[in-house]
Amino acid sequence: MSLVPVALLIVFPLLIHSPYVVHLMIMGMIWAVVVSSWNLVAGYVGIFSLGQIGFFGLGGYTSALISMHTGISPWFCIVLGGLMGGACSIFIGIPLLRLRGAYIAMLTLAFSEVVHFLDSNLEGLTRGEMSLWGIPPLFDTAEKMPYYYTALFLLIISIILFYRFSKSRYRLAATAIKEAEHSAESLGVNVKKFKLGVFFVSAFFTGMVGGFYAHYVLLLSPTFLKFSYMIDVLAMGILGGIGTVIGPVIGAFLVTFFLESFRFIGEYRFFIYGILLILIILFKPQGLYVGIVDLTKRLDFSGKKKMLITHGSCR
Amino acid sequence: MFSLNLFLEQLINGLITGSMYALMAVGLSLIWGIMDLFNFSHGALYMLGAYAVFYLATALGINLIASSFISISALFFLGVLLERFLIRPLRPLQGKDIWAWIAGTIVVTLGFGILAETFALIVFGSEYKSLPPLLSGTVNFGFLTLSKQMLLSFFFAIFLITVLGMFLKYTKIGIAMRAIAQEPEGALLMGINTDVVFPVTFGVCAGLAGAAGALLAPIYNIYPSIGWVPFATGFNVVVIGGLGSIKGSIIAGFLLGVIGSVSIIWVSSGWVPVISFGLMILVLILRPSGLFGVSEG
Repeated sequence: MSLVPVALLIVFPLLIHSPYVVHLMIMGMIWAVVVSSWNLVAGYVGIFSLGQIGFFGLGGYTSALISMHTGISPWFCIVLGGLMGGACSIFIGIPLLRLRGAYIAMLTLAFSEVVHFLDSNLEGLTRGEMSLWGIPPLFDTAEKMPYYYTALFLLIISIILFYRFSKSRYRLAATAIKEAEHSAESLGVNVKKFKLGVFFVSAFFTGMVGGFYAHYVLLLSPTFLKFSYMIDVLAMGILGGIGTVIGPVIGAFLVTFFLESFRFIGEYRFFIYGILLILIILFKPQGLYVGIVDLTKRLDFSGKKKMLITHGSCR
Repeated sequence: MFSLNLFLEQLINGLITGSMYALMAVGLSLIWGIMDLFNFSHGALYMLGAYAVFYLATALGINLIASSFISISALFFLGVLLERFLIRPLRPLQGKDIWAWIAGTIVVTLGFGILAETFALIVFGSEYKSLPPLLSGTVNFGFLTLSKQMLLSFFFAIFLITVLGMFLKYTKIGIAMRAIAQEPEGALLMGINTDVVFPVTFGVCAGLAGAAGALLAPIYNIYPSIGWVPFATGFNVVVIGGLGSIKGSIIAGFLLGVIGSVSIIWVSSGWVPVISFGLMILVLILRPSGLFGVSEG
């Protein structure tokens, strides 16, 4: 079953030749990885982080600057970007362990804002608001296809990893931490190590895909570290469904295409965006994916099948 | 070059901007302490306050002080509505699923913030609007000169904070608010009706954000995304001062105002947010309850 969307994604650029649509798909996949990794910490472990964009930007700038100054292959630099994101996540993760609830949101948001403002102030290094250009591309071609498949590859490995995570006993530990941290600790979950580990993985993937983004669009500016992009990540995650593997991916594609295709209605699109966020939280906080699963359950009248779906739904 | 005059001038300027920071932060802190949520729409409420004053004063020609009061009361009612329709439906989550409560309140208030900002962009337009000040000119105190409008805003902010303090201390509903902040369950057992206290709290805080917007409307330009910077500063202040502590917010507001304006003697103003966010991270690491907060974290 799950191979169908993958197959569709693989043949997609062979069927649709418009570079514009392919570009949107690439952006959708980039966001899908960022939102899925955010979901890993926010959805499963319950660390409501607002700093994902900070890791994304750190990965992008690290990868771009290292490859520009040393001439090392961008492929290797992307991994270095991921490691930079991961290293910073440990740096910010250690004080995070002592905090709970909304304080976590605050510390991570402050971290991301410090990265943002450092980036715009350290003009000698990042060229600040004048934006960083001249980043070596991943491929020596203007074609979008190789980038498309690279993004797809990144998306698939991260999804496989997150899927395996959601089926493993680590998922149980995560749920235990999210719902009752002290009980989890007393029952033998190493909460500190676990949280730092998950935080590292999440930041690593975000940083890596940030590096890929840098070598794809070839232009970086502090604008991209703005809090408004974190709002996008939030919206994608919440729309699709936090705590599910597929939800964030659906949300990422939906929001990317929504924002793009409603460009013609100008600023009204953010109006719809705001209303949608509020309505989902008030009426369907589990997000669209669970909503659709519930709907198919309700539409299905044969009792036998119903049982099957309730047992095998989004868990 | 270091000069004492420049330093003193920046110090006074810092105290004046600090009063605005305190006004923003007090509202955030109050909502946190009483309603246990972090209000991400505070900046949008600030922006709406500024626009309200602008249109009352220019389109209707109402006196600036009167229109400030009208705008503050309008925001109070908006706050009451927000509590009723956005926060109260989430309230059942608070005891059950704390994660859903935190995420839900952050997203809902943020969603309203985006909504309000886009509303302003569509209805009022993206161009900068400026309001003629009530008092023009400057006052000279020997070595330093201050704009009269700034001084007026400063005293008005101090006045509002004092009124808030009296309200919390002496009125029945103010006492109920403090009771909920100190001991939520005990307060409920004593028959305090949260269906009255919470809307009033949100209303008062929206009014405070609107007041800050109204006071700064004659000083700065007004545009739809104007609220984010004061929100970020209020956010810094409230964490540094200690969430839930009014006293902490006021002291930290002045502190951050002074640090911000004195530091631009040496560094460019672009570094000020780095300093204040850095300070905030430091406080969260070393003393999560803030400089003056009650240790609870």
